[in-house]
Amino acid sequence: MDTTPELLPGTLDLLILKAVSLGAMHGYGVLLRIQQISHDRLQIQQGSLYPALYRLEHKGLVAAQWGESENRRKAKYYRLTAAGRRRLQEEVAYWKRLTEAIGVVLAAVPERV
Amino acid sequence: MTILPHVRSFVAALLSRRRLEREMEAELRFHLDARVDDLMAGGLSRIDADRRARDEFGDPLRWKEEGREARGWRVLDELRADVTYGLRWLRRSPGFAVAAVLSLALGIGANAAIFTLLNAVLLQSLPVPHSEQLVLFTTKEAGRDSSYAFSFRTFETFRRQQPSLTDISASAPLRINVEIDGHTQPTAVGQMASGNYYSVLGVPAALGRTLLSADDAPPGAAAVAVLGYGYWRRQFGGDQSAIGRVVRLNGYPFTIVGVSAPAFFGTHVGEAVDITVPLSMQPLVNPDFGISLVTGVGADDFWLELTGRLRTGRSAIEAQTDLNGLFQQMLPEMLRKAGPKAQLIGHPRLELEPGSKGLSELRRRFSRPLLVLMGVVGLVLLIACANVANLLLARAASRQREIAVRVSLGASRARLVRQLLAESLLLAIIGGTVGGLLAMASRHSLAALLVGANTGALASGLDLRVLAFTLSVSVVTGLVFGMAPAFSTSHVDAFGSLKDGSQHVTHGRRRFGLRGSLVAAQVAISVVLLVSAGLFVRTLMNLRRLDLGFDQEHVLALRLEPRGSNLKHQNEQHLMRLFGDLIARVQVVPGVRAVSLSGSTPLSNENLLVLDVTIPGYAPQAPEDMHVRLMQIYPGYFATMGIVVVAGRDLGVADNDPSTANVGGAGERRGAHEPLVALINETMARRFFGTPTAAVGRRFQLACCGQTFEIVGVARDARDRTLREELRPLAYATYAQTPTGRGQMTLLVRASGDPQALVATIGQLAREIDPAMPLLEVQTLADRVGAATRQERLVALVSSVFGVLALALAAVGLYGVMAYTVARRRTEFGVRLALGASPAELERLVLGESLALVGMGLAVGLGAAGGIAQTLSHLLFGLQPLDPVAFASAAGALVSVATIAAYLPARQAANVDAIVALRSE
Repeated sequence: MDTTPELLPGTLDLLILKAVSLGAMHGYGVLLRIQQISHDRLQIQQGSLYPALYRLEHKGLVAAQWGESENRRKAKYYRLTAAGRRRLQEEVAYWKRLTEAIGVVLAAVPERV
Repeated sequence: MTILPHVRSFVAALLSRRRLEREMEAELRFHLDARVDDLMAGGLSRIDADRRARDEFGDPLRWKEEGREARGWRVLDELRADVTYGLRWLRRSPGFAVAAVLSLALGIGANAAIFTLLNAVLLQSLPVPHSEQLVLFTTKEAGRDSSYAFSFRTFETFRRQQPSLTDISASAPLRINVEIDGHTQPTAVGQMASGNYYSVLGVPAALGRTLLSADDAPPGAAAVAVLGYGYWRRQFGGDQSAIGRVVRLNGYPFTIVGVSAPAFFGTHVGEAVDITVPLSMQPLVNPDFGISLVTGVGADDFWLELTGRLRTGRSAIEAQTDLNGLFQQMLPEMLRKAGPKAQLIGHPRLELEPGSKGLSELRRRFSRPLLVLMGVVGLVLLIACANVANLLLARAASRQREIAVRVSLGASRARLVRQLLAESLLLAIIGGTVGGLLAMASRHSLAALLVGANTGALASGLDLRVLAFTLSVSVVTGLVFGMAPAFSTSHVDAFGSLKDGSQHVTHGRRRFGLRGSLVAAQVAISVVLLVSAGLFVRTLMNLRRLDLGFDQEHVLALRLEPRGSNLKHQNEQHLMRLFGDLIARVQVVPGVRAVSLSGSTPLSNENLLVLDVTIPGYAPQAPEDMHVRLMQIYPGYFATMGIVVVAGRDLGVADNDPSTANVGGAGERRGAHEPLVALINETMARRFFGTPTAAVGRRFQLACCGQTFEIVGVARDARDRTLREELRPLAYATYAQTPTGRGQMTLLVRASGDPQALVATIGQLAREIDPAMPLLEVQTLADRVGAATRQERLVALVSSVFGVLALALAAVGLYGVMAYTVARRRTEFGVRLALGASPAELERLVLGESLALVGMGLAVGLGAAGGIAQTLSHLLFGLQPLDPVAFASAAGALVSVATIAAYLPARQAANVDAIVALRSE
C-alpha cells in the first residue's frame, strides 16, 4: 500500500495558508515548501494547488502580486493577508482539537460495560 | 466573512477577464517549466522530465476549469451565455419579442410615469442641504384646521428666546406687479422673507448675493430684491447685468442684488418663487395690507410662515416642547390683544412639522388621487405580466426538444430555471428601458394635468429615485412573469420529448391549466379597472353637470386689492369711489352686459366671513351651530353671475349708499334708520324659516357686533367655495353695509359674446384705478370651474386609458390561449367530427369554454371591484360606490370584447378538416 496518504478534502487550503505564512511565494514554491516541511510524506497533485490558491484569493485570505522569480522569470507571488493570518490560527486550533478528539476515540480500549 | 473581496474579485472578472485568463495560463506554464528545470537538474533527460512533470501536475484543463469555478467565473460565464442565447432567440422571433416588449413597456412605463409625479409631489425633499433638519411651525387644536400663520412679534420672540434651533426664518407670499423701465411685466409670484431666509435654508447665490440680516432693519430701508433662477432666465434672459438694475415692484423701486441657486424654487412644492424681498419692506410694498405688519399694532397680525433649522443633537420633539412652552406663555397676551377676534385664535398648541418636503397645497390636493393611480397602474402591470407569461408558456411548447437535449447533457433543473429566468429578466429590462423612455417623454403632459400650464414649478426631472424605482419594478416584473413559465418549462419528460413526432392528446381535466388561470386573472383585473374607470368618469360627469347655481359662461373674474383695501373702515370713502369709478368705466365697454363686484371669487376657496347669528323666533337645537357666511357684494351681482332671485328683491344702488350704512367699528348699533338689508340663499331660508317666501321680511342679528339685517330677498343656492362641499347658509349684503375690515373685491364682468375678447380692455381699466395694485390674470369663470375639477379629470382620464388598455390586453390574452388550445386539440376535434358532430357544435363548444373562462374572471373581478370601490368612496361624487351603471357597463364591455376575441378560435375549431387532423397523428 502506498505510504504517502492522500489529502483529506479541505486540508489543502490549510497547508497552503501555513506555507504562505512562512513568506510570500509563487505557486511552485508553495508546493516545494509543503513537500519540504512534510518531508515528502504527503501526496498532492501539483496542479490542484492552483484552484485552491484562487479560492483563497477570492475569499481575501491571500493576496497576489506579479514579481520576478529567482531565475528572472515572471511569477505570481502570494502572501498572507491579515484575514488569512487570523483564519490560519483558527484552522490550526480546530485541527488540533479535532485530531485530539479522534485520537482519544481511537485509543479507546474495550472496557467491561 | 466579508463581502468586499468577493465583490472585488467579481468586478475584476467582469472588466479584465482576458488578462486574467492569460495570467492563469502564464502561471501554470511557469510551474511546469520550473518543475522541468528542477527535474533536469536532478539528472533526467528533457523528455523524461517533461513527462514526469506533466504526470505530477495533472490535467491543466481541469485545473483551469476548477480555477475558474473557484473564482466564481462560472456563474458569470453561464450568465453571459444565457443572455447571448436569449438575445439570439428574441431576434429570431420578432413577433413575440415585439408583443412582449410592448406589453412590458406599457406596464412599466405607466408605473414609472405615475411614480415620477408621486415623487415630485410627495417624496422629493426641498433641494437644500440637510433638509431633514428643517422644521415648519404650525398651531393645532382639536376641531380646527391647523394653521401655519404667525405674527411678527411671535417670530421675533421665538428667535430671541429659544435654544433648540440654530435659527428661524419667516416668509409670506406676495403678488408683485413688476415694472421695468416703465414697461409693465407679467405679474410675478413673490415673497417677503426675513434676512436669514436663505442662510437658514442653506441656499447660496448663483449671482450677486441673497438676503442678509442687515436687510431686516430698519423697516423700509432695504429696497433690495433677490430673483429666482428660473425667473432670471425667463425675464432677464440670464443677463448678468440684471444685478444692480432698479425695477418697480408694486410701485416702489427696488434694486436687484442677486439671483438664488438654480435648483431652488422656494419652500412650496409646485410653486416657484420669482422675486424675494425683505420682510422689512412690507409696509411699502404690500398694499394689500395698508399698515405695517412688522411694527406697532400690525405686528400682532398672523401672516408669516416660519421655518427653522434644528441644532445638531437636538431632536424635533425637544425643540417642540421648548417652543410650545414659550408659545403658551405668549398666548394670553395674544388673546387679549386680539379682542373680539380672539375666538379665531382659540387655544392651540405649537407643533413642529418636518420641513424637508416644504409646504404644499399640491400635495394636499393630489396625494390621494396619485396613490389611487399608482394602484391602477400597478394592476395594469400585473395584466401585462400575465400576458407575457402566457406568451412564454406558449413558446414553451416549441422549446421542449431543446430543453430535453440540455437535460440529457447534464443540466440540472436549477440551471434550466436560471437560464429561463435570465431570459425573462432580459425581456423585462428591455421592456423597462423602453417604458422608462416613454415615461420621460410624457412627464410634461402629466405634470400639466396636475398644475396646469406652469409645469416648471414641479421639479419632475430625471431623479435617481425614479430610475431606481423603474429598475426594481423591471426586475421584479421579470421574476414575476418568468417564474411560472420557468418552472413549468423546465419540467420535462426527456424521453418523451426526444421521440420523434410525439403528439400529446389533451390531458383530461386540466384543459386550460396555468394559462387559463392567467387569462381569468387578467379578466378579473380588467373588470376592476373598468369599474374604477367607470366610477371616476361618472364622478367627473356629475361634477361637470352640477348645477352651480350660477351661469359660468361668458363671465370674467379679476381679483382687485387696491392700496388700503385691507382696512376698509379707514378707507371706505376712497375705496367706494374707486370701485364705483371702475364699474362705471367697465359698463360702457362694448360687449359688456353686466358688471359687479363680490367679496370672493367663485370657486376660489378664499375665506369668507363666517359669523354667528341670532334669529328672533328661531331657537337652535343643541348641536346645531348658527354659523352663517356673509359675502359683501355690489348691486348687480346676481344679474352678472346669473343667479336667480327666487323671492323678494335684489339689492339696489340705494342699499350701497354709505350714508345709510352707519357701520363703524364693532359694537356700534344702528340708530333710527332702517335696518341693514341682506339677501340670503335658499339653504339658509329653508333651514331657519321654512320656505323662501317666508324668509322675506324676517331679520337676523350678528352675534359679534349687534348689527341687524332685514331679509329683502332670497337667491338660489350657488356653489361658492368648492364644487364638492355641502351648501351652507349664506347671506349677501352690500359693500357699504357689511361690517368687515376686508375691502378686497373681485370684479365680475358678463360679456354678451366671447369673454376672452374683453380681457385686455378690462385689465387695462383695472390697472388705471390703482397702478400700484398687483394684478392677477383675468380669468373666465368657465376656466375656474375647469381648474376646480383638475384632480377628477386626471384620475378619470388615466383610469379610463388604462381600463381600455387592460381590456385590450385581456382580450389578446384570451385569444392567445383559445387559439393555442384549439390548435392542440385538432386531433380531438377530428375525432369528434368523425363521430358525427357538426362544425357548428364544435364552434359552440369552444365558445362555451371561452365564455366559461371569462365568466370566472368576471365573477372574481366584480367581487374585487365591489370591495375596492368601497375604499374609493371619498373620491366619488354624486354616486354610490356600488353604482349599478358603472358595474353593468364594465361587465357589458368586457363580455362583448371577450366574445369577439373568443369567436375567431371558435371558427378555427369549426373549420377543422377531420381527415387532415386524424391523419397527421
